[in-house]
Amino acid sequence: MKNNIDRREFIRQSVAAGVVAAIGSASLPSTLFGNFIPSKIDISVVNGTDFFENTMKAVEMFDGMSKFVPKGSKVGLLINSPWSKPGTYTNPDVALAVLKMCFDAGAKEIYSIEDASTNYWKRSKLYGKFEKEVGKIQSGGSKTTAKIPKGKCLKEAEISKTLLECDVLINIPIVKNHQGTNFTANLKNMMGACSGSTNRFFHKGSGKSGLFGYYDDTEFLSQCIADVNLMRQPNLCVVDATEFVITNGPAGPGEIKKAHKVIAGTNRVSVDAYCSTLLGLIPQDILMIQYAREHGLGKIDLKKLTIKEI
Amino acid sequence: MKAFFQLFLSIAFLNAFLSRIAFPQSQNILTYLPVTDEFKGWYQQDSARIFVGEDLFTLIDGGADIYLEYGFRQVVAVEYRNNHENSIKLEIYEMSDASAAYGMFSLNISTRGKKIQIGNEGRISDYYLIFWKNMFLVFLSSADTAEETTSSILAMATAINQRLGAIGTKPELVSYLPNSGLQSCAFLRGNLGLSTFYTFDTKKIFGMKEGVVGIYPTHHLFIFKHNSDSETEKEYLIIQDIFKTGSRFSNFKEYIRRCTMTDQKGAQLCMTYSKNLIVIILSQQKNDIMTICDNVMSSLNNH
Repeated sequence: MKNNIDRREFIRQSVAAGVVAAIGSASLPSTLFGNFIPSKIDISVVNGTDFFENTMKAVEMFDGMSKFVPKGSKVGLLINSPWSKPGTYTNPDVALAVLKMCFDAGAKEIYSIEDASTNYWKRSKLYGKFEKEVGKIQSGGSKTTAKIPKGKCLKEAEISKTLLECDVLINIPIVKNHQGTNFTANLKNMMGACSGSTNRFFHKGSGKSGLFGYYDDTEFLSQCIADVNLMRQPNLCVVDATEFVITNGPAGPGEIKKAHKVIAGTNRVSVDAYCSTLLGLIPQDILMIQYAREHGLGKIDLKKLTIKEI
Repeated sequence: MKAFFQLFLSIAFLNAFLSRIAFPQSQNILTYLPVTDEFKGWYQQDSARIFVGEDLFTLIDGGADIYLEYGFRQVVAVEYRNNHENSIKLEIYEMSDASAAYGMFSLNISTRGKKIQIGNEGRISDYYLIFWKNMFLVFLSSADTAEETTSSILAMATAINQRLGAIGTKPELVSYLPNSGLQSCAFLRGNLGLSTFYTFDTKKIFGMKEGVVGIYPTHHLFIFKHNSDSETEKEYLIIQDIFKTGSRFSNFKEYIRRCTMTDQKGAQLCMTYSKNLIVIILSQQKNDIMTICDNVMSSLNNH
């Protein structure tokens, strides 16, 4: 597997780097270029049962959090935290490790975009050690309505203002089964930043759903997910694939697979393509991944990605 | 004035009709909950929450789609706690009929689960218990696997089972699956359920109203039921064309009322039809798929 940056990507990154050098990174909207920092690898995978340490290692393989979080920056964490049954929510050890790394890197403000509750953090045995850091997390705050000009099904969305405005966005989903889309990780986790009414539109907006219709318009739902991902690219994705439901997702209870992996990457589409294989799926079979690729958001051919696993 | 009154009556009638379809009358779902006095040390954490129809999205978000595909009426969700901070979550789903409850049960049972005699069928695994009875599907789960919690889960399930009343019956289509070698099966009511087992196409290509999948040591058997023989033949030809012209399958071979192909992972498929049924056999092993197909069709014709 080789690091594959094509010509267009190289030029884009070079231009972005030039702009940064010229006008300073503070004035560059990260939503515009997202992650433009080239890496030696595309995806890091760390195996083992010390999920906190392994999360640190997975990010270290990308030269550490300071590469993504400049001192004094405002960081948004999108954690899949609202669920409560085993294997349905991001292991808080993984999220705590990201939180610690962000503070260590010098983050000034850290926001939980989906407002993880204290109960969520308390599920970690490490909560006592990091109670102070957890206490500093700020609420994701209000939603704003934003247009998505390139959206095919979704033209606007009510979405977290913080997600759009933060300097650094870190997506921290759990990989798991989802009986609507077969799979959920980074791309679908963006729905956690949207309002209830926007999310309802994803499920019903095609007009084919409803009292006398069907509830299986996966094509529309998947396109909406791909569309909402046009709004903001995460700077870093840290995925919990430690223990997750492989049936009855997203809410569970369901059969649990203990893969004991923590995965990091800078491109959510590529990371999702890799993660889908952990559920025995083919990335090309998952419509939201396919549609996100068609939007030009990332590569899904795993043979063309540099994946380092330890 | 008369026209206005007629319009008013029409709207009222339509509203009443729609209400009955969306939220059919049934016994108060709260009456199925176990009484905590029966379970020493356990108390109900908060008030029971009931979600009707599409409000299911509030409880399980995108997980609601598949329940609605099968036919969902309402659910009651409760959490119980004890003094050791253990927790048991209970959800009783009232589905539209027994087939819907069985369908969701068959889709969600853990292969690692142990069969238990409760309701129509039940399974218990590491941290959760699931059973179905008539039009009800019951989940009891806990974040811990302490013996005290597990035994309480079993006791609560028994209490709920007694309250749920009559036993229901499985959908007739399940009986079409040959018994010999059948390891497990699932009842399908749409494409979301189907995609849990196999992706025939990323688009919705099957228009079946009901389906079953049987898992055998050497193969999976899918049977899709349609409204009529002519509808079946028409759909067979459309799907055959999709398989033939698409890029998902190779080695496509067409026979009279039958076709075979190989998927991207090297599994063999054979599709055929008879009367109002479309039958697909998927074999991961290098078996003679035509012979398997012959045996299946012989069994179906004798049904």
